[in-house]
Amino acid sequence: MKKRLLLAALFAAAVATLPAFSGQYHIEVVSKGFQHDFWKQVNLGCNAAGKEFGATVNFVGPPSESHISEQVEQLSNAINKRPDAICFAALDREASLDLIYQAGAARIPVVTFDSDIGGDTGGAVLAFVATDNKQAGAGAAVEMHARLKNQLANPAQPVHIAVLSQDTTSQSVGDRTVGFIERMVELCGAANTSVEGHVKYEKKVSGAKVVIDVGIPAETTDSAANTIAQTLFNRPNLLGIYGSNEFAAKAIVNTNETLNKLGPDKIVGIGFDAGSLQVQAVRDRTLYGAITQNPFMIGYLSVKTAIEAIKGQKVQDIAVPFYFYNADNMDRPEIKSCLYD
Amino acid sequence: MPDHVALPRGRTGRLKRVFSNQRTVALLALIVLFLFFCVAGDNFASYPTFMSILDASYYIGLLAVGVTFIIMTGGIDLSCGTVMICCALISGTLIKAGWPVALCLVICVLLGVLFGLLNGFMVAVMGLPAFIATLGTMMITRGLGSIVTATASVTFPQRRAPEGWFRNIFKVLGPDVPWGMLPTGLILLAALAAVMGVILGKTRPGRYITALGSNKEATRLSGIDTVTWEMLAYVIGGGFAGLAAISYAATYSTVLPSTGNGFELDAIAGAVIGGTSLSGGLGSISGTIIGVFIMSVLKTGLPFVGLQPHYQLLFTGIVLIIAVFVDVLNRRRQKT
Repeated sequence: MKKRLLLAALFAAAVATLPAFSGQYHIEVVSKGFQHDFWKQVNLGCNAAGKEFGATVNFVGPPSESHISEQVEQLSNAINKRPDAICFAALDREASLDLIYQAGAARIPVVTFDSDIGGDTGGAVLAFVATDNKQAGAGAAVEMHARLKNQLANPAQPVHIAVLSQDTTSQSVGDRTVGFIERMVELCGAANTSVEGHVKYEKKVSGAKVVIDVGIPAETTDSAANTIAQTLFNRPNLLGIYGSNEFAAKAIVNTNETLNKLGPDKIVGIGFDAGSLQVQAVRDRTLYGAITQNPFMIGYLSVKTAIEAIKGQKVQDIAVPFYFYNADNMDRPEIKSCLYD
Repeated sequence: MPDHVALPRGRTGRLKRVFSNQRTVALLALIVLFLFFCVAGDNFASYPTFMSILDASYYIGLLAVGVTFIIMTGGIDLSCGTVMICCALISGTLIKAGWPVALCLVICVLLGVLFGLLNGFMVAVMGLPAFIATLGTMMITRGLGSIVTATASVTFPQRRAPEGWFRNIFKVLGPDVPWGMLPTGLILLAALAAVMGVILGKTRPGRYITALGSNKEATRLSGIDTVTWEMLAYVIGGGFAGLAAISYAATYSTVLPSTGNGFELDAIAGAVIGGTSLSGGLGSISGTIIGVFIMSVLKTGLPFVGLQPHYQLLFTGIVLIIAVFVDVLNRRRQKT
């Protein structure tokens, strides 16, 4: 009995190391799911890199972005398969910390992508591949400010700029919101700009000429988001509104259907990502534009970095470039490939 | 509305009678709330705000009308929210595949009916507790929606697209209608609620469903086919979940798989605030509609008075508890 067990263990070990000998690497990718078209593009990018560099890529993800525990299980399964490397996009910064530590102990290199994990991972995470969300949010602020420059400089009455953000817990959404707010405050002058509306971001300045109103729905449902979008639209002298992800941009576009306040010579709306509703709204100039990430590139670079790490090469964090698109430039090939709908 | 309790008579009795009817109390509460937000809220009293209250009410309202029938039998439906999303996902996938929109909308409602039939069969024929049977259906429909769509979101045709006409069922926009927009969904919801109210309160099936909830055994012993009527309640519930799916798609465009949990509790809360008793046998469709509007007026109104949105859940919870407590108090008083 003992002998048989030993044999089985030996056999398992042999099978596990086999791909390494055959030159075919095995990489497990644990994503945030398939709900948004974004992740399909990430998946394609991962597969493309796998094909190019000779790795088998297994791409998994939870049913939705609120299924944290299921993602943790998927990560645990991925580690148990003893792959050559793991690429991981964390739904929750803290939930998978122990598992990542465990991967490190098993000497499985980990590359995080899209959303990083927080805390000490024991050196398991070798690189982080993502859009710099703060920079991308700041990019939206720069575009909005350029468009509204004249109205924002010394207005006779206080003017408003609204920000709709999905939640307060997600790292990427939070960064895009903060990035926008901070750059907008910088561009309009800190002494002149008051940030109001939500405790997390509040920074009130009395007598400010520019007021940035931040709205965050109580729950991630469409109706709650539409309600907040509507209250933001009702701000007096509203010049611009920014939605920091696909969900928020969708609420802005849906609410505008009744209010009809967005458009050229009206309120300047800027979204984030490229859901079909949003892309359509940019095309017909309801939205002034939106920031899009390059999900294919995120997937491609994650797997490429993982393979470099397996080979023992030195790897580092990669900030994947983002684009601002509007009705005029959205058909250029480099941007069109990022509008994944 | 069926009132099985003897109400106090006489002049002082009349006043008491008015206030011992939870539906009346709920209606007064709705009016007071609405007026409060009109006075205290910045910009609340406007046509677009009114429209957004309606937008947030259609799908919950339709779900709640259906679930009222089920609660009246003494049952419960935990699956209506996920059934709604599942119906929307499947019919949306068919639209994407090029099927005619009208056909897909019919399929959407029929799917709802089918899930209702499944629930009804499990409860009335197989004798499963409604809580468990519909919990199972909740999981099944969530899984099914994810399978059919391969867990990807489904976007319905835009308003300007030729297939987008179905959005006009709930809201017509454009320069041709007064004030630029027409809440057609309100007319539909009112008509459906009126018809279902009559069915529940004035027709034989409605009375049997009510009787089932009051005393199932006595109803069965008096020779009434309880299986059929109990199943009918679930079928109605399913059909309305299918209708709710259309309103959801028309209002929010994109439907995500693996969502829909929690909507069933909103629907149940609406029914209960409007005076439907969770133990069955007592309730009305008009009360349910009032309950739903109390919730959506709260939801829409609270941000207008400058409260951060987390308060909305807090206040809805308080309203729910007060509503049920008023009901409990009234019954206690009527017993003595």
